[in-house]
Amino acid sequence: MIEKLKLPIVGALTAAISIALVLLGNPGNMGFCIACFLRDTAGALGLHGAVAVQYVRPEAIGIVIGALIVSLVTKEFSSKGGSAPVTRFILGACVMIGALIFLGCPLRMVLRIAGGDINALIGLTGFVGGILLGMFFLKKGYSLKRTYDVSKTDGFALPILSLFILMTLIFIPSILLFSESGPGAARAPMIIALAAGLIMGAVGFISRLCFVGGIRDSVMFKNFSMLSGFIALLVVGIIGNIIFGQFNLGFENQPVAHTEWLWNILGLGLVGFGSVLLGGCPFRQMVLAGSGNSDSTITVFGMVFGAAIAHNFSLASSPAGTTTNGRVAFVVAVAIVIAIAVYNTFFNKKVRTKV
Amino acid sequence: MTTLDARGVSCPEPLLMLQTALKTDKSLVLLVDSKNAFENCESYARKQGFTVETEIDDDTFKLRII
Repeated sequence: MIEKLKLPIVGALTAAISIALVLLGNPGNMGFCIACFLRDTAGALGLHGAVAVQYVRPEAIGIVIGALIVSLVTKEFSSKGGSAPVTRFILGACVMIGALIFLGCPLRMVLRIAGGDINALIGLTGFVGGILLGMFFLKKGYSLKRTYDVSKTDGFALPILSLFILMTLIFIPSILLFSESGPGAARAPMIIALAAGLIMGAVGFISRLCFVGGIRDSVMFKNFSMLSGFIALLVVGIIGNIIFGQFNLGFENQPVAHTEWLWNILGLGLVGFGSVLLGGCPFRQMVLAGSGNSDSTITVFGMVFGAAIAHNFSLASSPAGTTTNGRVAFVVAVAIVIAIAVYNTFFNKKVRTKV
Repeated sequence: MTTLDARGVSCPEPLLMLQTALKTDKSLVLLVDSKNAFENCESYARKQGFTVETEIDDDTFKLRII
């Protein structure tokens, strides 16, 4: 019984923490957003020059460290990797470009819907479409091949880097960049944001919450447990937002969002498609990276790279809408992801599974 | 009895391999190396009416699905 309730509880907890973070200062409907947090962190490190989105998000660091701590305690920390890392880096970058065209990762998509943002609800159709497309390739035999044991320096790389950045934020913030206005300037107190991230990393590891997995497993295996977390997050999010006066149903004037419905669908479609090929959504990649998976670490680096180029070359959308560069980048990114999917489904030498 | 080696492949490939194999095989041995894959595959096989015996050896979970 408790096992069955695990994911709904985690979903509800995620909604509660997210609403609290917004009330304490985070941008609207952005209690958690992996794409946004990695983009802000990339900005704080000077990897892009968009002054409105520069801040080392303690939530992102917390997720990695939370997953690390629990995986060490449960002895599930395992340094593994080597499954097409460069391909994963590229997929991570493409997923980030899709997320920044929509303005949010799948987790923020749900939080936006829970805040009454109908643009995100429309975007959800694209997300599902992208997942179904990814599943088509999975069923045809798509694989990035096996992971193997790797050095612990690989497994611990992201947790140590995260701690290093956290120490910099605490002790020498002057070398980092901080937004003075815009989403990067909207932030919950550092210690609370860090604690929220730690909790999410811990429960994310225990529950294996994944926003792509929820939809994928429901369709593919008729396993609705992950989806139940998704639904609990949505329901508790809607109720919480109504109680705290954060619910604003409609298309217009939504926080950090635009109303170009086609691009919301396409952006999230790319996120869904790329995430299925990666084996998990951006949140799941962060949690796996914290627990020693160096393929996920490479994916996170790819997402940071994607965020940097998205802002350096004006690919990312803004509340004013998408950009021409962003639309061109979308086409290029989709072509790359399709090429990766096709090659690793139909042309790559198959993994030998029968012993 | 067929042995399927699903060690090291990404989620959800182990479950997908198992799902495909169970369409033709009435019994098989499945090797996985993550608790995640182990739990997913064990639960799926049980739901399909199979009996699952498990051996854990270092990093490998060996599921005998009958």
